[in-house]
Amino acid sequence: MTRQRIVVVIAVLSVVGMVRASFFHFVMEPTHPVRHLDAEYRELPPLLPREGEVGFVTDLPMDEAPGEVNEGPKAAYLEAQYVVAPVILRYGDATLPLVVVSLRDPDRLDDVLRDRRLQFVSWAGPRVAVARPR
Amino acid sequence: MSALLAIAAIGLGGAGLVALGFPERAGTRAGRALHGSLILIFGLGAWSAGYAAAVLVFGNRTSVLTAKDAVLAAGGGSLLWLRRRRGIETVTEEERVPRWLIAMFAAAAALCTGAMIEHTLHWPDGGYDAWMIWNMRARFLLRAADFRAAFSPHLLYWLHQDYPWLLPGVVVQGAALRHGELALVAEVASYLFGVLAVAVLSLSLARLRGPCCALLGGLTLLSTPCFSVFVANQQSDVPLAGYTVAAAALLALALEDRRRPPTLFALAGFAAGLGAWTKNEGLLYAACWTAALLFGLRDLKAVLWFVAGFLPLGALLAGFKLGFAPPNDLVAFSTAGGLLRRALDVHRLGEFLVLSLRRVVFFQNFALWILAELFALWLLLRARHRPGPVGLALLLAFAAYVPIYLLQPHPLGWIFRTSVDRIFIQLWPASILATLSALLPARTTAHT
Repeated sequence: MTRQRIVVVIAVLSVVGMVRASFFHFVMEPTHPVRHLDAEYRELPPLLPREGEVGFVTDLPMDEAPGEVNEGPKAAYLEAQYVVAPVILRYGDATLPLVVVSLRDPDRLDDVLRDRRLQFVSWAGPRVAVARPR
Repeated sequence: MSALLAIAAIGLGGAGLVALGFPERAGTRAGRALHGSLILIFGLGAWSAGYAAAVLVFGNRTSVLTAKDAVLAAGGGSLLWLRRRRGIETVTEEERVPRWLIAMFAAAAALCTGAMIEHTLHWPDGGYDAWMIWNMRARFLLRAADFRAAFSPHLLYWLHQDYPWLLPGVVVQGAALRHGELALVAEVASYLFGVLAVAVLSLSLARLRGPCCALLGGLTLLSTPCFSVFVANQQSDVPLAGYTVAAAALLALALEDRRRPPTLFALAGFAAGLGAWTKNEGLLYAACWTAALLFGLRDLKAVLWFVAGFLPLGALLAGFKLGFAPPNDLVAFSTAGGLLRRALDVHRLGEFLVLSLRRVVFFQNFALWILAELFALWLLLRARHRPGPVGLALLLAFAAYVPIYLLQPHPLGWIFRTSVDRIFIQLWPASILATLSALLPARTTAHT
């Protein structure tokens, strides 16, 4: 392939790429919701110690078989962990003095508290509560 | 920490390394711009690696970090002074560049910047891996009384506590200079590494093949739709791409110089080391560079210089992995029986092939660039072009992912979907450099 052809091919492909990028960023993406994790979880850090370990449970099944990935509860864990760092959240541990309860369905709080033998301390947002062992 | 001292550490540290690596000072504007880009990318890398080494050995104290910056600045200044008598390189053969090509490059750069800003406004915490690994790590290092909390085995393994921390090291030091304020630091660092990846690619191509080729290379990267997204995502993949293309560029420059300057091989090794300190994949790429030099070049001296350049970062990585990091999840969840079962699973191989073929035509992320790259490789194959060590290393790196994907313990479809585009962007700038260098003829360089 000659040098001129290479120049032309790259120029044409670049136009294709730029059109695609423009469409995504300036037509499609502006319609997507904006997420700001610190704002979403702003009520949680004041309820926890500044450092140390805190439990974390959810109303979703948290166990997974080898070779499986359970994204829902792990995503909830990671979001909360990002906001409360350097506090260490222990995934699936309801035995520590404080436990963060993340809820896909807020109506299931009592079920989670009962199943995990926890006592309600406070809400920390519409879908997050803090509890302690009974 | 002092901002002036930090700037001196980055600037002088990077300048000292570049002065040590290049046998001559740059003699053209493009050459000086290439050296400037390398100074910044090496300076940032050394600043971050120095931070990690100081924290791991002496603890996360302000006095330690101030002393570290002073040592970097003094060391870089000393190297500059020692290499002050270098000659100036002269490059012959000028080339006219069409104005429309310059305009297209500028438009692509502007579009990429706009797209990055738009994406950042939508995802201020960055992409999935940014907040769950890299920015999370920066928060731990900045806020924890004991830095070891960032690598606690009690954290969920999805935080990948074993990953190296070049990018968090830059972000946390940037935030420390702003009195602990993290806002905009990760965004600026990410954009800077994106600019440097484009600059190192384009300016090294300018040196190797002339300004027209430089613009084509930069244009290719800037118009790859997922590039701006990954820059905005604040993940470590674009910084790793920057160090990978820097290693590729330095090796290409060393290999096309008839004197084979050993210090350029060492600087390439240092770039590969910074890549390894950026992400685990960087260690794989360093092994690929070494293997390609060993088997493709058959010049043991060059290999040894490359390895010597890699060693300081290799030692830091080994110290962190052996002394502080919990086991990697791929290792922790693998058993001999599981590895054997997955290796013999024909269905898994078929699934991998289908997933790969679908990715080749994944228009929304790559437009038509992967198809174009495959076409270019076919052209080179048809012309019986024998890949040099740079091309060979990249082919080895892509090939290495086949067994890695097949043998890793997580669900194949899930891990492929969540990782393959990032692996592509890590290797894409270096691949552009290798492909354009092979397709277009070399320029002549004179030395004085």
